[in-house]
Amino acid sequence: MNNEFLTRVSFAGIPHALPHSSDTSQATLYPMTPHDVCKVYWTLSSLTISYAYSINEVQICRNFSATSSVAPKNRLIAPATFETTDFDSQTQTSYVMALKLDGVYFDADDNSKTGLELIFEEADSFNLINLCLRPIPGMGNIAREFTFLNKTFGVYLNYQSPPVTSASFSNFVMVPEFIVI
Amino acid sequence: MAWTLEYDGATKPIASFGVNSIRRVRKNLLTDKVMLHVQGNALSSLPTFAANVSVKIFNDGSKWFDGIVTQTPLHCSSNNEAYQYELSGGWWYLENLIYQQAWKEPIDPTENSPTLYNVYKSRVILGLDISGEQLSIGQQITDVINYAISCGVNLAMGNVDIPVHIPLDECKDLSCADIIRRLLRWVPDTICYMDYGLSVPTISFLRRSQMPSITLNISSHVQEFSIQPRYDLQVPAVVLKFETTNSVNGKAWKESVQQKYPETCTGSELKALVLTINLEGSKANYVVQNITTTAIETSSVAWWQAHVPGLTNISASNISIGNVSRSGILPNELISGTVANWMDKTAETDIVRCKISYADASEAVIDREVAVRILTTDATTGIYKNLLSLTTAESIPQNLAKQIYNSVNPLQYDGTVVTVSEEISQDFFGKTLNITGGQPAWGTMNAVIQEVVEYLDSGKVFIKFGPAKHLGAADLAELTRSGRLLFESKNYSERITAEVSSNGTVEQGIYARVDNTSFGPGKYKMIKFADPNNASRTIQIDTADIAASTVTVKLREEDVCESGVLKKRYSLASEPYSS
Repeated sequence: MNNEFLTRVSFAGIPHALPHSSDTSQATLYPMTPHDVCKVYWTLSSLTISYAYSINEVQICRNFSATSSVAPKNRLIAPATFETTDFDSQTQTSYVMALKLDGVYFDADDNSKTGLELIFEEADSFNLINLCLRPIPGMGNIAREFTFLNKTFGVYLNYQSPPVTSASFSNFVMVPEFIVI
Repeated sequence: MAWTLEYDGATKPIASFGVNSIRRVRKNLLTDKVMLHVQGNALSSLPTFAANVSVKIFNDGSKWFDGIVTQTPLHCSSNNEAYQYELSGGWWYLENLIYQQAWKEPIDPTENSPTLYNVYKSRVILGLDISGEQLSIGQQITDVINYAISCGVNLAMGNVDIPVHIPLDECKDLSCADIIRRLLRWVPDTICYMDYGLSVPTISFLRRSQMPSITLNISSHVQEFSIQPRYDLQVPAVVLKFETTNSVNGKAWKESVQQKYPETCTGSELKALVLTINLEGSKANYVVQNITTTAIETSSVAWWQAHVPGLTNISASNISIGNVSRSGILPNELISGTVANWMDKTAETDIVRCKISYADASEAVIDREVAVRILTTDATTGIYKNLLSLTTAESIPQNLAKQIYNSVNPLQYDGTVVTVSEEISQDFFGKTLNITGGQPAWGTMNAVIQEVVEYLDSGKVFIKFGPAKHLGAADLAELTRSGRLLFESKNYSERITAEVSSNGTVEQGIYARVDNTSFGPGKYKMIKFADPNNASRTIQIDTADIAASTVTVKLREEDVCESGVLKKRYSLASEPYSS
């Protein structure tokens, strides 16, 4: 299949019609370059997240993906969606991942700094932990880093103590796959 | 008679040197020699006279010989030991000195008019001096002798009255003696005579008619003689055929001139001396330039179309011209050829400007400024010619046929005479000989004496007279060698001007026509591109399509995504405007 294409884009590498916000507080993957954003928007085919953590001696390992089959040319009309959600009945935890490509965030003074919003969260039924890309005020956390397109971002295991008496968090990896053109 | 000898600074009676026999040999155009026979204990004693030492012999105080010791051979037999010394006169120096002439050479050959200086070369041109004047045989011989004197040879120049001009003769690496013999081939009745009586040996050259005569009576002291008239050597006519090859710009042609004596001869007579002599011809080189010019008609549309290629395909009726100006004033435009300084014409670059307006199906221009650069000149159409170099032809020697005729036509007598007397009181050499007491014709024969051998101890004199065989006058075949050995001198102008090639330097034209291939800045209303193979496929950019009054459409940069990679490109677009 020939996926070559050429289209006019905004300075951030996405269609002119999509929102461009200078409020970067919503961007969790920030800052990226417009070249990275352009590549993700037009050619990302799947995004996989894997990690492991333990709470009160209970070991949890996750590995889940979100994929899209929308061809690049069709993304001129609307962005591809990368979203997945699930519930672990054994541990009574739910987890969700959603990459928001329907807009970009940019620095009003420096257009070379652009960001996307990635919603990722794992939480148990009793709100004892919350694993996400931001620290939650009032809760303890274990911070880790991960790389995405050669950029480093932070991920946080937020917990409440008690009841959490022991916690550990490691091996957070986010792996993208792109359409070969 | 008191004979003395000066050797090594001392003058003593000749007998005191042990000399018991003296013989002097004098031959025309050869070295005078004196043989001294010294008998004695040659084996046990050193030579009395050392080689290369000066020796002078006096007779009653008058110098009889002046020369140097050139050979000291020793002869020994069972009852005899003797040195046979050979003394050589002044001609010996001429035999052993290579003649050289001054040639002009540039100090700095890269200069346009370099300063010349003299360089002596053994390649010589006989009959020409350094200033380019032709020399007679006498003048050339004088130059040879003076050259030898300048080299330290102990000689003085005596009489040489031979005003005969010859063709230029180029040769190289010849001794002064060879040069003189070569010159005297043209006048073989000439004798070279060395006068030892003066303080410095003086060399003279006398023609038969210039020599004093001496008369011998066969009944007085003549011991024996032989004589024969040489009717066979008489030449009834001399015809010289001078051939020259002239050229102009490399195109050559031959020219021949005949000189004869007597005037009525034809050259076809038996025994006539016919010589073909090549002379250097004239060489001329011209530069020729064809010039084509035309009037400058700046108000003519056709003139502008001829000068601005872009106007060629536009109908002349659609073109209007205005505001014409010129930077120069010369009347004509140079169309072909070049203008060089030697034409005595002026040329200049002229920039002609105008404003042109036109419109056709694919282009519309208003007041477009057009400038063309042309070469203007005050020359007119024609052929211009300039002489670059000219080498004049070698001149034909005047009266040479007559001079040769006078040398070889008179009847010559050939023979020998031996006289014996108590004392040798007469100097025979350098004279013509008449013999009386025999046939009347002998008394006025004026035979040139070519060789004299004098035996002082016996008073015997051997005389040989007749034509000069060594000069080629002995027979017709030898005489013609004078011409056969002579080639035209191709370098005579080089000797004077130092210019090896006489082609000259072609001065190139410095102004040539200027072609115009580009427009000045213009104001286009519309440009239309069309596929030459399909006229319906066109690209048209027309300012009339812009409705807004102040919009500029130009290339502008924009962002694009090419297969997932963010890039930039340029697009032709206007700035936003209100609709």
